[in-house]
Amino acid sequence: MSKRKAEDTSTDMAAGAEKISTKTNFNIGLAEPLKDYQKLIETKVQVDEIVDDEIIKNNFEGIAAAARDVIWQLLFAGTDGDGGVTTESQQKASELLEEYKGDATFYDPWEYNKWIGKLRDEVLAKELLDFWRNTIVKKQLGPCWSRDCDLFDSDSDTPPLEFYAHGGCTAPFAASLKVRAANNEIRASDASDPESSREAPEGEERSAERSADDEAAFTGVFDAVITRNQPLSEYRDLMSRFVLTDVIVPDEIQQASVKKIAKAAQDIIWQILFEGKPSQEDQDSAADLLQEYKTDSGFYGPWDYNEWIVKLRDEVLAKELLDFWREKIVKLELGPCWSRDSDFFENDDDVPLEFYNKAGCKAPFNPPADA
Amino acid sequence: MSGLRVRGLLALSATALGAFYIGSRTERERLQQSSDVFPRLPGLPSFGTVSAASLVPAANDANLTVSRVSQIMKYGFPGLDHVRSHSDYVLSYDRRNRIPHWVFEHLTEQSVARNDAVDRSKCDFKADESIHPFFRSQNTDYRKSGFDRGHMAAAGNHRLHQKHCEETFYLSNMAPQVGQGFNRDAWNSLEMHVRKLTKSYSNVYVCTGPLYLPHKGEDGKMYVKYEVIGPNTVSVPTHFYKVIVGEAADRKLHMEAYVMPNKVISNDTPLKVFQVPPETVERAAGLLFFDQINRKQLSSINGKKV
Repeated sequence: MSKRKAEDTSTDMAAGAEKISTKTNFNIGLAEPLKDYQKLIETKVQVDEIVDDEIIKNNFEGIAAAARDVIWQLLFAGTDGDGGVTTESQQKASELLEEYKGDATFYDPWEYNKWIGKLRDEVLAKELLDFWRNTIVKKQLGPCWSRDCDLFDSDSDTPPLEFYAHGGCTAPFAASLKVRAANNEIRASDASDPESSREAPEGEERSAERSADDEAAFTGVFDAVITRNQPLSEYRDLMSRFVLTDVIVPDEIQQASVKKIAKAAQDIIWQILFEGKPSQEDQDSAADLLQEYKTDSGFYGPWDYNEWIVKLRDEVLAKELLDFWREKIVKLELGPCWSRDSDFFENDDDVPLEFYNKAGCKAPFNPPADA
Repeated sequence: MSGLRVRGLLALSATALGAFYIGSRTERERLQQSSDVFPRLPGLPSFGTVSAASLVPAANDANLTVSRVSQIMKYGFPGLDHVRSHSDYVLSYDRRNRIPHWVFEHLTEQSVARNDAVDRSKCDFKADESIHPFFRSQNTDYRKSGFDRGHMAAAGNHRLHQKHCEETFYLSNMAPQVGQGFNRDAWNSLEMHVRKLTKSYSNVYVCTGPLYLPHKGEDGKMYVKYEVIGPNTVSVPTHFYKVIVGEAADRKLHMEAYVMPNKVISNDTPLKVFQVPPETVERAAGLLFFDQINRKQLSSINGKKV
């Protein structure tokens, strides 16, 4: 249990929050109302410190009330206070109203929704039809609802269609609501249609052959056959079918499968190199498989490989396949796995340097500096 | 053993039992009186008091009771990380992502019915002070982020009491959700669907939570990528799930599981499209849902007979 109480940290974090006092009067001037308003929101509401939600709420309410007063004044009393409402003051009112609504949708839509009805009635009574059409209707500054506010959702709240149905206007979103209602009807009739329940093609797209492989991978019962024709791709095919499957296979079964395929790889490499004289092509294909097999060993367990590769080397040198020794085993670093090839090893493990010290060769890598 | 000793033993044990009974009774009474200062109980499983054989009536008092938690969590806890219980839902909070791991609800026809005594407009989104400030999300994080404060435990599911509804507005019950086209539309339709299930089932249990699903990058590798918002870096999940179990009157159990992407979903998309096998949600979420039910005992999953 943490000994650190939330309170300790909140006092630290709230140190910066002390400047967020609860003020009772928030001033928004008529000269630059939008700027004044934004500054108040920035400093008293939109703060990153942890401040009691009540304080933020009260501050927003205070600022919102000031904004409402100023909008009312700009629209119905004019900036010079003599009742002459200029386009400039309407413009200011419009900007502030839009900004205030944006914040109201987040902090407190209820108060806005109550007041905007009154504002509309006054606007219509004073016949400010331009403001009605171009600001309130066009910018959708009516009541907050599920379209602009996360305090509403589409089932429990009725869209404020009626609010806009004045002065020859309709809600800008009326058409899309009609489309939606029509869609819902179609959906409802679809839902009652029993035919619409389809079977999902879940898991059935896998071919039967694939699941037979999975079964074999799961039980470990399969024949690992690699021929001289295409040893690398045959090896890869075996690995991908019986080891690299999506089914969850018990560890010991998977290890046995890996061993079985590794044994097949060892046998075919031995066969290609030592039954008769291997052509260049034979040597290439043996080296390709050897490289792939070594890489897999580095992952699944390098111990078998490390033991066997020494025998292979001795046989290669005994049979005097010096090209294969120099060009393949030494050059491609096909000696024992170590920390360069495998996460089974760490940097302080032995480096297989002397493996390569035969027939005038040496390891194709430098020993680590600290070795 | 002499009769005297037996009598002595009997008297002694009767005294002890009586004392224990009186003690536990006064304790119960004390708890009932102080119910309004009830601390937030850790929602620890206490299934002993609940029998799966009895249908649970809707609890009718506004305060959290131990038995309410066990009612809600009847079918097992998906996980036990930072579990909190409210009066009508249980939540596990993901402190790293600042949103829930999961929330669990138990709905009845009564608890989702319209109730004039519950006023949504009195509910405020508020930071959850019971969460350490380092891991708390705030309104500021969500503001102008382009995301809604999306309820995990929906407000419309808790209409028995004002308090139940208000407690769904803690920001610890929120996750950033795409607003129009998701939270207020498609996701809302799914919530309504779950509420509608209470008409066919006596009890509906629902677990809701976020997912952060991987997708293929341009290099062909798989990555998990998601936005974080605000000074508290609140995670924006890529998807959300709901796993639902309905208890029919004949005691049969029916399961449904949905996963929806956190993006605009066209209005004419049927909910069926988002149904997935419950196991896929469990794998993706790292949680087990309704672990106390053997899947073979379900009558149906996503509308198909098991």
